[in-house]
Amino acid sequence: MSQSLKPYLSTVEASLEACINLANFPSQEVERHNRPEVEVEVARQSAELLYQPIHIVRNEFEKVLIEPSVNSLRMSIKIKQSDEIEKILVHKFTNFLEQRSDSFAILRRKPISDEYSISFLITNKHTETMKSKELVKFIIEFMEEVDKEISEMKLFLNARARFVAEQYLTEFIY
Amino acid sequence: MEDWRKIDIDALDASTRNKRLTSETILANFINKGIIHKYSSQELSNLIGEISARINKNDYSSSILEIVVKYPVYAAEDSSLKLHYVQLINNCLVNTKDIDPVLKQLSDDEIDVLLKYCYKIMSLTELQATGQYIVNWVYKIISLHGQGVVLRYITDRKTI
Repeated sequence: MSQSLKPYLSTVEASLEACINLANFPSQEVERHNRPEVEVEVARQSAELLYQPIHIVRNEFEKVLIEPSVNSLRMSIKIKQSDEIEKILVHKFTNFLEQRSDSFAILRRKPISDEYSISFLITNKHTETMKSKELVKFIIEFMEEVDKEISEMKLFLNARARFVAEQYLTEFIY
Repeated sequence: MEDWRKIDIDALDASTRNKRLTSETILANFINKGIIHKYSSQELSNLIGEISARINKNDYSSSILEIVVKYPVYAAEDSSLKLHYVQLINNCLVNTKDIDPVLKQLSDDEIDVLLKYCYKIMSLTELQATGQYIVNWVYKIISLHGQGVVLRYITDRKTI
């Protein structure tokens, strides 16, 4: 992990660990319903069930938003996208994961807004069946890996594009 | 009455079920009970003047130690003035080179206030370019005081 990335990731890790204390909490609105309180529409939300959201920002291009509540926590990540190619790659990559979110348990089907690339939704059901420390570790690992993966994909893409262009253009050399 | 079918009976329900608690009511309650002081524009301008004077003298850490953490501005009459105040605090935090000695002089309650400002600054889009410095502050605070500060931040209803 690079030296400048460490404070950012450790801050995210500590904040997540503090927020992941989730408990079962049935809906106050509808009897026998139990839903993640962060996902309840704004007009029906009750302030006593939601905690203060946490923004952790490295710069405009890399940030994290954690929205904790009594029985669920939503975390959104903006993955670094410095140029057009990376934008496309990040979009394709996150889209690929989101379409398979059923088998991904904590992944949200859509990011909460266009500002963020990907969102996770952790509920008390997840923390009851999985170790919360490991969940946090997984997310931090994901954040570490995704940057590497995207830059790797970009390199491959460029190398392939160069090769294809060369092959194509040699046709025109007489 | 002809349109009796359209009467919203839930609105007439006297039970608390339909009276949702919002963060505005919590804040108003705090101000009414005197738990939070609502800063008038005059008082806030005084604070801003004090901090700007210290910034002009390149004295960043003392304004954090003596003003920022001592007088938390939870509520203010003029929100644009409050934004200006937060921008000045951002300026102080970004320019303070030596973080550790500053943090060591703060009490636990003062650390809580400082963390609130850090998270507030990071939530403002216009101040996100210098986010790296603020992240560094939060990182140092957490490594000195543990996760308890974050827990106190998310549950505290006195917000900036």
